[in-house]
Amino acid sequence: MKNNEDLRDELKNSPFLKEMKERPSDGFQVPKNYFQHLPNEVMQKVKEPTFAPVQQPSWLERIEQFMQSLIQPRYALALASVVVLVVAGVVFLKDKNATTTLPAMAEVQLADISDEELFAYVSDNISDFNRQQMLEASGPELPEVKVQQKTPTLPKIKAQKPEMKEIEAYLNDAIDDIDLEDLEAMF
Amino acid sequence: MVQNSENVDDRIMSLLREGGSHAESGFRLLMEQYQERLYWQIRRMVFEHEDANDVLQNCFIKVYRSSHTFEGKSKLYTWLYRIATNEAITFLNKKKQRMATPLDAGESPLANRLRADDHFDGDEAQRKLMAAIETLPDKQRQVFNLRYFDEMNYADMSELLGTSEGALKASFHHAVKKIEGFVRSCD
Repeated sequence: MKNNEDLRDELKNSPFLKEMKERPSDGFQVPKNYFQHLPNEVMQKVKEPTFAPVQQPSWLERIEQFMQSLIQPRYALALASVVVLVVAGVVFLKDKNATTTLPAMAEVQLADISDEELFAYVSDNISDFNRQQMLEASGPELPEVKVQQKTPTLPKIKAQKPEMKEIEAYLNDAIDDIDLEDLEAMF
Repeated sequence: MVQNSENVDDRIMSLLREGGSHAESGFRLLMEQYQERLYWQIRRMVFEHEDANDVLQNCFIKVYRSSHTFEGKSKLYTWLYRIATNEAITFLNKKKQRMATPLDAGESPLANRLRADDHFDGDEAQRKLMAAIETLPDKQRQVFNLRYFDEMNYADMSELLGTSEGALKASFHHAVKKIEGFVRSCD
């Protein structure tokens, strides 16, 4: 009852709502016997297999559900993408590390090889080294070696002896192109 | 027949926990106890009987499927009311997405629908009141309905909605002003 009085008080400045509140009904109706039939209708629906009550899954079932969810196409694709990215990242980083640390590792390993072993290796594989590498490897204490550059020699061409007729023909052709002054200069 | 006692809630929960045919009896008792209260809460949010019936049945199906998750920390009706209002709000949001622009821009689409509704026998003023209530945001509509139609006190409302009494009083006061303004603008 107090609630009702409080509400009237709250509506004192709202003539429309105050008047509507005095009415016995708000205009809404329900079909006849609706509430008698509703529980049966709902029970019929909940008894259908799709509406069976859900039991709390055990931890083993939860793990199984999680594993199954990973096989779902969208999750599997996402997982595969992540795996590919991780593998690519690992390979890339490994390569990068390998290239940056290789000289240092090589130095350490070379220090362990004795001089005899080095000489034996170089002797066996002398054909694999060029002159520049050998000069660099020899170090600054080695005496400078003067390398004589051979002048290239042109291959000898065996001249063919020309025939007299050919010489005369050549001179006849050339005589017209030679100036008199040039001839005098020649002698 | 509706029984008003917390003992009924205890009995309902006890039967639901026992499972099997006891669970079915418990669920039937739950529906008989709360179907009318829940129906009117839903009906005043969605307005039409067919919609209210769909929402209420979905609500009960959800309750049946998730009854094992109710821990008894709140009153049974509080839990049911929250499920029902969430279901009603979801329904209204889906309906808003489906609805195109109103064909008759001169009058509220709800007033038109109520005029054609076999389960609404209200007059023009009552249709106007419903159209005004429809303009309120969902939460404010809940507050207005609980206070204006159910005459629920603010302490109970606070427990039900999880909002402070002061905020609820302010919300109701603003709702009343909005409705009065809406009605005046229609005259």
